[in-house]
Amino acid sequence: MPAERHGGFGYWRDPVFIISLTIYVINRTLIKPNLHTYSPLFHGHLNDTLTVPVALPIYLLVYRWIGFRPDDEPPRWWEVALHVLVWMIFFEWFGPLVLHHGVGDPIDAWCIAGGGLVAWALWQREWMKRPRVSTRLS
Amino acid sequence: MIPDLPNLTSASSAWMLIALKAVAAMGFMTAANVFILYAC
Repeated sequence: MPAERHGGFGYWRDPVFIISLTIYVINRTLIKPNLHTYSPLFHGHLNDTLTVPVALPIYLLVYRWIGFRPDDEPPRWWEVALHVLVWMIFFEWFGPLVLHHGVGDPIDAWCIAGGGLVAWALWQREWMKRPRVSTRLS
Repeated sequence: MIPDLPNLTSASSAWMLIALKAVAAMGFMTAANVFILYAC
């Protein structure tokens, strides 16, 4: 059986995921219900910006459980880019046009991409990675 | 040349397993995307 490679990504324990999820929950439960006028930031763009840092770790964790992801390395640039592309198409075109749910907005698509770029940059930082588990026997 | 049948079968099974995992991953992705679209 080939040895599996273990990286330092914590998925649901990842700090970028936890902080982004906290911001999302605060916005949804505390900020949005108390806003009396429509705010493009809190009602739209913030959620789109948080799409990658909140959703991608969970998606990658499921891929890992399925066995489709071979290791626990932090999200690679192409994993982020592929999901950003799928989400831009799904949430900004397919959802509004085919499922008739949501509003297609080019700014939202840029927010998804921008959030993905920032999250990816943070995930590449060494201090974000958890200590690697040594597989060597002593 | 006669193909090595056990190797052929094993390679075919490996590809089938990869294809199955890809289908499972895409199924999850689709379901999760729909959930996010309607719930978030």
